Amino acid sequence: MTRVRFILPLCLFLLLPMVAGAQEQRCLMCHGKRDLRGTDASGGARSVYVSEETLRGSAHGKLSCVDCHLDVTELPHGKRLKKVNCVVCHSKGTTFDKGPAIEYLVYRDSVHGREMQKGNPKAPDCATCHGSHDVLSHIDIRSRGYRLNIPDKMCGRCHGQALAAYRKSVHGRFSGKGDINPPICTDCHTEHGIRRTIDPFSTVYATNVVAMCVKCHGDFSVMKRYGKKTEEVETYYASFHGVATKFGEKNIAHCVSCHGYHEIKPRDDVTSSINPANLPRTCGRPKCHPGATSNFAKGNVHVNPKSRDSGVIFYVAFGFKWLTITVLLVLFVHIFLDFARKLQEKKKKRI
Amino acid sequence: MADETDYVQRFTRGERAVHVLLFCSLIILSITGLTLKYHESWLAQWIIKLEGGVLFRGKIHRLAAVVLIATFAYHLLSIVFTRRGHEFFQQMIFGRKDLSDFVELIKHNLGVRKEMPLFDRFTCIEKFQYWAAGLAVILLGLSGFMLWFETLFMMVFPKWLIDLNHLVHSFEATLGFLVLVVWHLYNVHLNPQVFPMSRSWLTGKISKEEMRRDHPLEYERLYGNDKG
Repeated sequence: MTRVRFILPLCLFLLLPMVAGAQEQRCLMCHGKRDLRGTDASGGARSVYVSEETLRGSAHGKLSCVDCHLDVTELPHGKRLKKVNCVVCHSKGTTFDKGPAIEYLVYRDSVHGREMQKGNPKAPDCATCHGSHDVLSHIDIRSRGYRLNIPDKMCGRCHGQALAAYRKSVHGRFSGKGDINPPICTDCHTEHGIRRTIDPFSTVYATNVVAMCVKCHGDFSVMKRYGKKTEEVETYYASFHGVATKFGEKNIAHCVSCHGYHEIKPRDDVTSSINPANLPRTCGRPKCHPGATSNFAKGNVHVNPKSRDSGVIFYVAFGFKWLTITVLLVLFVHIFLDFARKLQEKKKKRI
Repeated sequence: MADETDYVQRFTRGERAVHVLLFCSLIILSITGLTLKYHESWLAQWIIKLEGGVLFRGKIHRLAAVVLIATFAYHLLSIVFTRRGHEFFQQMIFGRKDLSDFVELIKHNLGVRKEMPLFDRFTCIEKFQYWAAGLAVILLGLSGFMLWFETLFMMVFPKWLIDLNHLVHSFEATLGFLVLVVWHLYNVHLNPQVFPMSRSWLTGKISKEEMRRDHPLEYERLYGNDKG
């Protein structure tokens, strides 16, 4: 009797992995069939096939089906399963009671999270971007979240127009060639906390977007790789536009107003908004300088009076600086002499 | 208290009023202009907040500029239409005497010459100030209008000229501001003869003694050679 008491739990213990394995096999009995279809929320047919190979190769390869699909308690399961709640595991620390992961909290306040809460069926949840059974770490080159895959395999699947414009831009062309430096979607829009451009907390809001561009365009070590200068940042901040933006004005030209956003192209590209031929149209928007002519293209836009490249502006600035210094020196000498003399005379008078 | 007859009326009430308008507009123009030029300093940022933001600051600047131009117009009209203004303007024109006066004044200040040169109504220094201020207002006014209506002007002028104009406006205004603060404030405030302040901008009068000292030729013309 004692022996049985000992052996039975031991057998059960040894059998457990087999039972768990058997559990997967039971799911795959149906979901392993390639042509298995279920119905989605709108009633349409949708494949519910799960490739065991993909699942085992994913970041969650060691989990079993019911670790995520918590509402499956008996087989066959109910007609409609709930969406998987990633936050059950992805929370601060290892237990749920510490609250959801920061990524989720940031997502909840993003445009995607808010649309989801409003019940918009097109709003993305975790799995829309990260994948479900095929979820991979972002450092895996096959992953949707791998830096160079993000535009095409993650954001671009929904934001097709933005992707098409981006791929034609100078940033998109370089990143398409496998260069990891140019910005991809998430560098400007952030990852989980994406907000609308009209949201003052958005990284691409009118008064925040300059700081976004300056992250790279103000960094000499990044810009020199592409033969670019960083002085555009200083010259912008010194201009009327830059000062006004810095003081929180929203309706004044910032980087994006002239250069565009997804479709940023270099000056010598004829389709670029800053190509000299297109500048009258870019500057002449109804809210900016209506009636702008080709004169807007005659001269530098980013003017640096301290650089010799600015031509006559450099020499006039230089001349004026020394004129001011000379005039003030002469003035001070004159005043000193006048003062000394008048003081002397006043003293004489008193005596 | 000195007798009423000890004083000479130098400025009319209208002239004094215009002077007040002029310096009020210049103070506002200087504050609103310099805060834009030095927008990076904490002081300028604080003042811009008081000015109601960076765009409203511009509106104040332009309003003050209109006042300044009005005082300038008043002055031009007085030159053209009043006898007094016309005479003063003729006396303001530089002559050969001004150059020799200036050399002698320097010599006097250096202690080489004992006597001051004999000045008429306007000293060579005052004449220089008048023309420098007049030219500065014309230059700043024109360049300011170009900045105010930049799209209109860029229908005619290329962008680099507008940039140059912006630069000239900024530098010329700074120079004018510094000269005004250093020189004019010295002459009417720190100058030991009038310290702490010459009151003629309020009363319009100077004492006969002052006139005999600073404008002896004018004094002679008005009162002959008598000693008051």
